[in-house]
Order: sequence, then structure tokens, then C-alpha cells
Amino acid sequence: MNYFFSHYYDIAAVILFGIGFTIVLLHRNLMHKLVGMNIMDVAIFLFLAVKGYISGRKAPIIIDDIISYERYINPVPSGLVLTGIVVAVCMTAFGLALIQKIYLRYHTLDIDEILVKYKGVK
Amino acid sequence: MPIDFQLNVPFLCIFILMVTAIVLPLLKSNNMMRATTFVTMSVVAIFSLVLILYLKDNEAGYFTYQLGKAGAPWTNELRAGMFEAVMALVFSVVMMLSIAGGYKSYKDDIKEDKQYAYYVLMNMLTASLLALVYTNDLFTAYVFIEINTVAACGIVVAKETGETVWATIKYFIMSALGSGLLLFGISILYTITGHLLMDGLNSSIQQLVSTGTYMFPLIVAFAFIMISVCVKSALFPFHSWLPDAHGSATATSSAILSGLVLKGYIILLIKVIYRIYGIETIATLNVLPVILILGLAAMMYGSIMAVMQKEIKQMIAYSSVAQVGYIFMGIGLGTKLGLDAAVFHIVTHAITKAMLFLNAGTIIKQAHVKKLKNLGNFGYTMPITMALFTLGALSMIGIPPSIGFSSKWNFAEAIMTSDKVWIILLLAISSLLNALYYLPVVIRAYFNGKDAAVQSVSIERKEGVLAELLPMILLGISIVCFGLYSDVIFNFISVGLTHL
Repeated sequence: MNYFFSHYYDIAAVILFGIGFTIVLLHRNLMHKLVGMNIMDVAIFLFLAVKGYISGRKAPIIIDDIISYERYINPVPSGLVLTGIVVAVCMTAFGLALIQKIYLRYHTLDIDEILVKYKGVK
Repeated sequence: MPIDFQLNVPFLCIFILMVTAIVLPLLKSNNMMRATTFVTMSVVAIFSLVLILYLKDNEAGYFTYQLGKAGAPWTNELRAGMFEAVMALVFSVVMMLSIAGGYKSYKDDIKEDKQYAYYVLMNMLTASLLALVYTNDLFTAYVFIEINTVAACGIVVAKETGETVWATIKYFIMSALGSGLLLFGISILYTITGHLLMDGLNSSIQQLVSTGTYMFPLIVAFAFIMISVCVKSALFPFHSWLPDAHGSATATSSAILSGLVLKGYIILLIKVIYRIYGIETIATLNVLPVILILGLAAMMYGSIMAVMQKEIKQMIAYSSVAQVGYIFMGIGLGTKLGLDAAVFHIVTHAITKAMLFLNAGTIIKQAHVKKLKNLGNFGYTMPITMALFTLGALSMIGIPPSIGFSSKWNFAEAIMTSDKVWIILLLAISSLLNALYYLPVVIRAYFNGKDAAVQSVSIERKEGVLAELLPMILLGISIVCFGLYSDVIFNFISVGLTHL
């Protein structure tokens, strides 16, 4: 039980990832799916950020000329999170553009309704 | 200290393509963009050839290229060996020929003022594929996979019909799921090892396995990465997006998606298995049988579904599902020969499937026929296209002297030397099924039972222009040549894979 309390960030990240994954898989609305994708990404960023944090230390920015690794947290996961955020923003923008195209063509965002209209056209 | 020029080739190839992609929109006309794209791709192809010749005489067989001066764990790395160089050459050449061969189709399918974006996407796609081939860093691989996904979705949706938009949404959502899983898998690997470079990851993982710690996260990370690669390379049962996306896109997009894009992810999986985890670790984790069974299922399912299709492009798309199954089967055997055969099949499928999709695109564009049953007597109205289609079909079935025969032969050899000889039966059945759906098209094209009627009526020629036929003819020639000299390429790949 102590394990769970000491790792509550990791558990929160995994639960968030699960929520996002389920939304992408099961929701019928395309906008919901996109939001689910974002939740999934945010969960991973939380996971990475937690793994890079060392309690009691500061962000790795040298301001008072103290160069010692004992003073700063691990900067690599923060860098990964930054890259990941950029990628997630790009994917979201592309997804929104696609969803707009779908809406202009089918006038709905619900997958079942789109499928009915799509089969009808075909 | 003088440095060999060839060491810069992997970086230069990726860099040139990305710069071209950024500069292209500044050019004035579509023709100029097309010419620039060709020049860039030819330069990349020539560079890859130079790299192959360099590595042929190189004793080490591979080299790593560091981006930055900080040293091993802190800099990004590219690594090139014979395997990577051959893949880069095949990818760039097939990409170039596909753009040339589908020119007429995509010129009509894509709006005039949007075509610049298509060339940009093509360059980005090639750059990301080459980066996936060359990279030695797991996180770089993730970033380029995302670029690859967006570019691939982009070239499907470029046609802007209801069909392609719907197919792209499907493709995008499946890919997004895969990307999420991949990033999580990489994060887990990073947190338990503290490395992102493949060499560091490997030594760290070996240490973890020898002490028996963190075994569960290791399995979970591999499972996440593998599921994501399976989704993105359309392995059964994650293939549902493929037939729509490949069947509805314009001919060039289909050829590139089927021939090349699927393979980029498979190459990453090969690297994860052999370079990061190491085949011994993978064997103790017991995941190879899963890959093998999924591959076999895909082989059978793809072939059976292809037999049932009524449209030519859908049929070829389902055939791709089956061919991806072959590749995964080769990897799943877990032997060196199996891996060689799988990588050889990547080359085979890239060439053959690109040509088949281009042929289908020409048939659809010139004769406006999509349904298989309306393809009668096309051997007379479109002799060159149909002859090439026949060649491609024979290669897919595995009839000598085509490259497909060599591929099947290698698979058979790999299976017979492994301890799972019964797979050869499934290979034979799948080949028969291949014949069952490709041959009727060919037979209908040449022997429709109305020969007399056809010969009496003057035949209307619907053949495409030479500029469009030439790339397909080149692909056809390479199918035969690579089939005749398959041992040369197989040796290159085999040597390259010993340094994986």
C-alpha cells in the first residue's frame, strides 16, 4: 500500500493514459477522440516529468554560477516533454483540419452517422 | 583530421530532403517543383549508392555518425551499415519512380494550386523514412514516425473526395493510438534504463536481464512498441484502415504507402528487436511466437479477403496486408535466414507493389474502369500496362525469373532450416491464394472468350503516355533483373544484417 502512496504520480499518469486511450477507442464523436488523444499525450508528459524530477532540486538553469549536478533535476525528460508537446500540437492541428473537412462534407461529427452517409454515397 | 565524405551521407540525405521540402513552396511553377523533387531524390539515390560502394570495402561494415561533439550518451546518432544503405537506395528510387509514374493521375486528382503541398509532403515523407532507416536514437525515431504519419495522412487526403477524407480519419485515429502507445513504451524504456541511444539501451537491458530486475516493465515496453508498429504497418488484426486508405488514394500515394511507408515501421521493429533488446532477450520474453502467429494470420486473412474483392485497387490493397504478414512471419521465425528473407521481401514488395498500384492507377485513369469484372480484353487495349501488370502478378505469386520467386525461395529455405517446418504448408496455400486472385485479372485481360469479336472490331488503344509508362517499365525491368541476380542483393542484405 505504501508503494501506491509513494508512486501516486505514476499511477495518476497511467490512469490518465487509460482514460485517454478508452476515449479514442470508444467514443463516437470525432472531437472527443481528438481530446482523448491529447489526454493520452498529457498523461505521458506527466509520467516523464515526474521521472525527471528529484525532490529538493531546482530546474537546470544556471543563474548563480553554481555548476553541480547535485543541485539540479534531470533535464533530459523535460526536453523530451517539450519535443512531445510540439509533436502533439502538430498532430492536434492536423486532426482538427481533417475533422473540419469531414464536417463540411457530412455535416456531422458522429462516426455512426458519417458511416451511414458514406455507405449511402458509395 | 580528414573525414571521408561518405560518412556524412546519412545525415546529408535526410538534410537535403528536409531543406527541399521547406524551399519548394517558394518556387514558381508546379513543373519546377517536380523537377526539384526529382533532382533531390536522384541525389539521395546516388549518395546511397556511393555509401553502398564505400561500405562494401569497409572492414567494420558500419559506422556511427554523431550529431554534435558531446560524445556517446548525450548526442544524437545516426548509424549506417549495408542494410540501411540498401534500404535507403530502394526507398529513394521507388519514391522517385512512383512520383513519375503516377504523374497523370495525381495531376487530375489534386487541385492545381494545392500540388505544391503534395511535393512538400513527398519530400518530408522520404526524409522521415530515411531517418527511420538511419537513426540510432529511439526518441528521434518517435519524432520522425509522427512526421511520417502526418505526411502519409496528407498524401491520402490530397485527393479530397469523401472517400479519402473518411479513409484518412480512420488512418489518423489508428495512428494516433499507435503513437501514444509508442511514446509510452519509449518513456518506460527511458525511465528504467536512462538511455535513449540504442547502444546504451542494449547494454543497460542486458544488465537488467542478467540480474532479473524490471522484467515486467521491459515486457510492457516491448508490447507497447510492438502494438504501435503493428498498427502503423497494418498487421492483422490492426489492418482495418489499410484497404480504405490505400484503395481510395491517388495512384502515387497508394504505391508509396503500400511499398514504402509500411516498411519504415517494420525496419524500426527490426532495430528494436535486434539492436535494443537483442534476440536472446526477445527469445526469453517469448514474443517471437506472437509475431509469427500474427504474421501467419495476416498472410491467410489478407489473401482470402483479396480473393473476395471486386475493385482492382482494393484487391491490391488487401494483397498488401498479406505481404506484410509474410515479412512479420520472417521476423517471427527468429533465425538469421528468416530475417534475411523478411528484409529481402521488403525490397521485393516495395518494387512490385509500387508497380502494381501504378498500373492500376493508369488503368483507372485511362479507361475509367475500377471493377475487376470490367477488365476484359485490356491486354489488347493497354498492352504495355497489362504486360507489366502480368509481370507484377507473377512476381507476387512467385514464378521465376521474377524477384517474387527469389523471395518465396528464401522464405522456404528459412522455414525448412528452422524448427517449424509446418509453416511451409501455409506459405504454399497463401501462394496458391495469390494466384487465385491475381491470375483471373490476367486471364480476363488476355483470354476473355471473345477473341474473335475483338479481332474483327478495330481495337481502341488507351495506353498512357511514355513519360508515365517509362517509370513502370523501369520497375518491371528491375523486377526481372533483381530476380535473375537475387543472390547479389541477398548477399548485401545478409552481410548488412550481421552488423545490425
